[in-house]
Amino acid sequence: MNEQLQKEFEYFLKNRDEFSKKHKGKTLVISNKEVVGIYDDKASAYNAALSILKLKPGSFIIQEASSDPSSYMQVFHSRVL
Amino acid sequence: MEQRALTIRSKNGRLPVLQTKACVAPIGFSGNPDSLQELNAIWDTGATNTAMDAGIAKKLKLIPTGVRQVHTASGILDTETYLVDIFFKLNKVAIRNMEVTAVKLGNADMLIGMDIITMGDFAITNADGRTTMSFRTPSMKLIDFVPESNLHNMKLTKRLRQKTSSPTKNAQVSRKKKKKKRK
Repeated sequence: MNEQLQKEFEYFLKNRDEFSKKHKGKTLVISNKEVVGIYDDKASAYNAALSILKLKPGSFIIQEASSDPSSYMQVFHSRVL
Repeated sequence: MEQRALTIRSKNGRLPVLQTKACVAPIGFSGNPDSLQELNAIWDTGATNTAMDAGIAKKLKLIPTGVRQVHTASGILDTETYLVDIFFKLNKVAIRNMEVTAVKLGNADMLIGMDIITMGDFAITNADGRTTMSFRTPSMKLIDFVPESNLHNMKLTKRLRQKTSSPTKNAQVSRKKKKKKRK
């Protein structure tokens, strides 16, 4: 996996409770271990990251500000991968 | 809001897997979905989210937009996610702005998970021994087989009771039938 994205994700996991308190339900754009944008949904966050924040595709992550694990976790019950 | 639906039905017998053709493009796709590569997508109620094979994502040159922790029987791993539009060629159903996870899939290109399935109504029936799966979005109506089954069983019980509770009446009817036959 992309090393930079891994670092951004680790930063998100470390601070997710704080993000959830401050921006519950919003979508965050994280780049260089910093929240650089807060939006209503993932599509708006993505479009803004490219057109307003002028970030390079693949250099940022979009994550939901939520302490609910289902927002950043995925479970496969039926298939072995 | 416009409603979209798709149905798959086996030609004969029951389907062991619910599989449809799907196409994937980066979000905001405004071209003709017919120009996109067709993928084999399995409808999987055991997957919380929609996923696609990591190799296919690479081949389609999708750019990662996030990361997810994926829990499988073999452990937990962090994997990239992509924001995409998904098109089902059956009846031109389009699901826009979906986040899909890149995973290693052996027997399919894609898994349609509960995030898509719960966007609408989803039913599997096996009338006449033929499996039919139907999906529509947005959700329009509750489907519950229990009231229909209860009513069916109530009628069945009533009929059985009528037969068993009046043996004399039944005997009279059969005697009358025998008389008619003799005539």
